[in-house]
Amino acid sequence: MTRRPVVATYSIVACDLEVGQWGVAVQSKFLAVGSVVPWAEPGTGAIATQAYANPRYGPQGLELLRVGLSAQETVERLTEGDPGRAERQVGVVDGAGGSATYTGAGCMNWAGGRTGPCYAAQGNILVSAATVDRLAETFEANARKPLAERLLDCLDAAQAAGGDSRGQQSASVLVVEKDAGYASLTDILVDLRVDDHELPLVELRRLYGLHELLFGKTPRSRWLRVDDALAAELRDRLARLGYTGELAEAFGRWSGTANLEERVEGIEAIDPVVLEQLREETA
Amino acid sequence: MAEPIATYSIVACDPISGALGIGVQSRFLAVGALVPHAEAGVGAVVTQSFAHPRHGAAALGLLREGLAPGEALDRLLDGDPSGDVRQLGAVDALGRSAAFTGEACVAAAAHRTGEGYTAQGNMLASTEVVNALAETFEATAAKPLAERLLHALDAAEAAGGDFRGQQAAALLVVEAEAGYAGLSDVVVDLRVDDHERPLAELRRLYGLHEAYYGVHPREQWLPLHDGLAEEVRDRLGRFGYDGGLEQALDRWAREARLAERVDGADAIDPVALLVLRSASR
Repeated sequence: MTRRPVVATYSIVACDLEVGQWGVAVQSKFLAVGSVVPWAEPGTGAIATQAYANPRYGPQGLELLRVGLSAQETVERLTEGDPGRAERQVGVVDGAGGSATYTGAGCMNWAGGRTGPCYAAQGNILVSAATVDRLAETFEANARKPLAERLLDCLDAAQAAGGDSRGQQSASVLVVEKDAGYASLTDILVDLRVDDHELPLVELRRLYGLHELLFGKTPRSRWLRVDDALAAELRDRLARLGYTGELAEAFGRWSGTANLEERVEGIEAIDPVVLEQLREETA
Repeated sequence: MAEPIATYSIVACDPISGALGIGVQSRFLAVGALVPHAEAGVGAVVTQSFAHPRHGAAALGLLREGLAPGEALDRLLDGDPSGDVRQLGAVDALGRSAAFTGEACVAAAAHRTGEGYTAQGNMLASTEVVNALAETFEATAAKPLAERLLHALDAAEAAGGDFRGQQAAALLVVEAEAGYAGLSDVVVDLRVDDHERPLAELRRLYGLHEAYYGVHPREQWLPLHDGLAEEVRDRLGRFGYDGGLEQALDRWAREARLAERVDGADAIDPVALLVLRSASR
């Protein structure tokens, strides 16, 4: 390939050791940034490779982490053997929460990174260092939220601080956890991409909202018991949508059409998210 | 039980370049995150319906060991107690293909394999959708692999597509060291995760991708004959690029960062024309 636009980017690579999640979030003035920059494997670590990116840093870095190298050792090993290292930028978090970030001397201003326990934040061609500072500070301030949300919050804060001096184009969020994805048959918990959009972070949040609606879980203890009053309301709302007949059966059919079957189990209790969706559809 | 991935997809190998690719459309959020799996020089695999995403990486592993696609799928399904709900398609780097549609997949569900490709789908308006994928792929052999896949998806949608509607689409093409800066095998990797018209959006992304990366040999440029020259002059004029066609085109192309795709007023790179047309629609 003769042409290779620089991946002007800011990203955060992070993990939540308590839950066992690793993830990467990235925004860039680059088409389909999610196809090049983010890499993650549960228990192993996560990597963002950018600037004049070397995409091989992703699989090679995960391989080094898998055999037990730390994040710092992984960055050293990747860059020392790469003749193009002066133009690379890479952030790594390892399986134990160790982190490292590297910015080649030839990356375009402003370029740099910051690390802390369980995260590495970095960017290049930024308006200023404030973008990376906001990534780091926002991550540190939100320890209680799910990792995917913390990462999205970080991107928003970074953008508000100026972001990429060339503007916005694409964004992605990737979070992995052992067996936590589709049908418990994959480690991919969240993998959402906005490949070309005027406001990629707004669009990424919209996708995440949709993802949570379809696949998110409300702890069973917070489901609402379906008493007589609620049963009557459900029956009425379902009938208005054309789902008549026995309640459990009608509810099952509606939830299937609404792609909400992951959040439904019988009719003794109802996930509040499902109730809200039904109320919205019949408002 | 997880929601089934209601999908149609085409998996294929370009006989000349050896590139491997997948095109997929689905009524499923971010279908590109789960269904397509490909490795340059090895093969390409889709896993859909009540999908087992790990079958993707596992099938590529078996192809890498040298199993034929049919043997690889048999091996995976032998060890899978839920084989009856799976749908799989695989093509290897030699162009051999195989597909499987479990009998419990939601109708219409079908697959069709041929030299260098396999087409499959479930929850379809009819099995004609799969025929449209296959026939369009076969009929477009002169085009680049990515474009053949996009044409096949469009034809499938026109044949009725997925009966639950549209939501997401993805296009993936891999070829050894043909991707970003020669340091990646990923030639095209575009996703539309949630859109009313995902195939139209995927085409728009592909147009952008071609504008950034695509290279057309000079003999494929379009001659600026009377009609086309008139059209280009008119479109440039609408942006305020007046005067001689050559100068106007040159100024526009430089500002659109497409200078390499314009050279005089005799012919134009098709990508430059596409960008001009979509910008002045």
